[in-house]
Amino acid sequence: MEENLMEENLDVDFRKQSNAKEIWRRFKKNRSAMIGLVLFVFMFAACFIAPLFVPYTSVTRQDTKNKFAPPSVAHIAGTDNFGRDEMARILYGGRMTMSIGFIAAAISLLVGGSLGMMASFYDKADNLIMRFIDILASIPPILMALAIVSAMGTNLRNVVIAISISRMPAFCRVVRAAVMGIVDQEYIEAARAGGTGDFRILTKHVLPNCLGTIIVQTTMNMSLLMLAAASLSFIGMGVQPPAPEWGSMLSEAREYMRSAPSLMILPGLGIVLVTTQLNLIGDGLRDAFDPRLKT
Amino acid sequence: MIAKETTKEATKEQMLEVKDLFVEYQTDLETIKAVNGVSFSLAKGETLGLVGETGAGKTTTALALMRLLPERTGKIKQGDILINGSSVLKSSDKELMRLRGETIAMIFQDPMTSLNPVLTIGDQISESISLHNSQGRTAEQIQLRVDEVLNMVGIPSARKGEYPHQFSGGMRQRVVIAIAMACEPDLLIADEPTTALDVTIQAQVLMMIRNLRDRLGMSLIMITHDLGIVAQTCDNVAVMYAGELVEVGSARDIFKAAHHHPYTDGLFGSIPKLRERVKRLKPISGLMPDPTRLPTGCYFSPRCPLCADICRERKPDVFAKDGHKIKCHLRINADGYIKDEVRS
Repeated sequence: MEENLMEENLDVDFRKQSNAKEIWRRFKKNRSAMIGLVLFVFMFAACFIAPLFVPYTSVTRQDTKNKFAPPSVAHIAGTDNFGRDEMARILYGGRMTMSIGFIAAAISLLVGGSLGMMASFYDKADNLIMRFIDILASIPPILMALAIVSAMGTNLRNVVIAISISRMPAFCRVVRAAVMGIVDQEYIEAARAGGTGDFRILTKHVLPNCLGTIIVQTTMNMSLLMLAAASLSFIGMGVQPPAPEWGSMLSEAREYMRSAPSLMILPGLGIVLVTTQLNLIGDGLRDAFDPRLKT
Repeated sequence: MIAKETTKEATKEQMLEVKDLFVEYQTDLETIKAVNGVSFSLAKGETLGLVGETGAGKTTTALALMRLLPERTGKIKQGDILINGSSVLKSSDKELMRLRGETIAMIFQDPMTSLNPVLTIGDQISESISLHNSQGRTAEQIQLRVDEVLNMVGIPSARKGEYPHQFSGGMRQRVVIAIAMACEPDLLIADEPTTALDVTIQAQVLMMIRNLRDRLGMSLIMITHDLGIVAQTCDNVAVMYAGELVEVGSARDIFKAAHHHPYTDGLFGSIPKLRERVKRLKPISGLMPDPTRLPTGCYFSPRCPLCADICRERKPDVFAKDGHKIKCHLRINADGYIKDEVRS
């Protein structure tokens, strides 16, 4: 009797609960990941909601009489070397840096990841793809990004393309290694014995097994990509002034490092915080995605 | 004439026919001759036991039936496999995908590794149902079928949302069986389904496989090295050694007939018997021949206690009596065993 009752109650919603909800439940238990997530959501929201409160004009409006002003009610973080509001520039700069990081990570993951999957799944493609990736990887990422940007012209789109290509080898190799470990497993053979086709095996059986690796790789690389974007801007090949970007702000503030250190500290801190948060989240997600670590 | 007629009729009912199958694994360094001229057939609803020690080529034969040999190295060199009259070797990829799971299903040896750890068991069962959805089931009906299959193997359907690691070994093997049964295949290949389980669970799982076979009228190939399992489940038995079938017959022939292949005798000599008092078991001395350098003549000759000169020189013919076939030189003069022209 009791058993029957239990069955009826549990039967309906069992599946839904065991996927997204379960992952979230396990993620919540990880304190450092949660701290990372909360801080990240806060910074992300601050940067992306900013346009509602701070007009873009305050980012570019110069007030030469009011250079290097200390923090005040009008300028919460003071002003920079052109008398522009530093807080507004930090917020808009964060928007720029983070969007570049996300979009570039998505492109790298999609292109590099699918190349890596194909390489590990189809023997014949393996050599072709991996040697191509080796060529890409033999050029230092920043140098390659620089070369691409200078060849294609300095604008936002090209910066994103350049840094995605420069990070692609990392994605490709990690995904390939992860898939290779899974493809030889007996449950893949079992799936094939059940009549499952290549595409379905890749997407349904292999991919979820490497999801942890891929997610960690993506979040970690996202921070690297943000750094790459910032470095490009720092040397003047990235986002062009007057548009704010954390890297270019750092670069501009370098001259006033001694007189107005806050101009360097704030965007630097932004980069450090966001990359740390992303790494913490990535770690937490990896643990949460692995049902074997279920507690 | 009459004999020929009956054999023709017999072949009509065969759902599976393997004709003179040779399989090799080729690498740069060596060529491993895993299966060397295996022929057998299986009628609908019948159970065949494939017996032999580790490395005899049992699993390779099974994988070849589904064309699941590793693409790079595994090659079917010769022979043909007919399933319901059509050749597996000539099938297109699409036909193969339908064949796998729908016509033939396989239970793998180790339930610990043959389930995908990140998919719920419900997902894994419903996948094979939705892949072979010839009845046009809706998503709901598929879920109902999943419940049905789980109940069939004795797992409460409420557990379908759980992951493989939440099940014990015996329960996982039930899940593996449920996946294989989900599409009611015509032929089930059980590759040492109980090797990874302890004895009490073994008995349960075997009983379940037998019941399901009888209920669904499937043919079954039971791959095992356990003669006890063979006695319990099989109609016919094929004894495999170094990629060859050395003895084929009904279970009765294998267990009770007066004449056997020396290898079969060796197998029986190495299991303890309840009724007889034996001081020591008699193992077969030596090891299986290296499949990269098989001996000339009879492959069993280096280990055979009855080995004669002819055994080292010439490959033995098959001698048969009422369907009991033995591949051994020493049966030439045995009573009633005549040379099987078709096979030799």
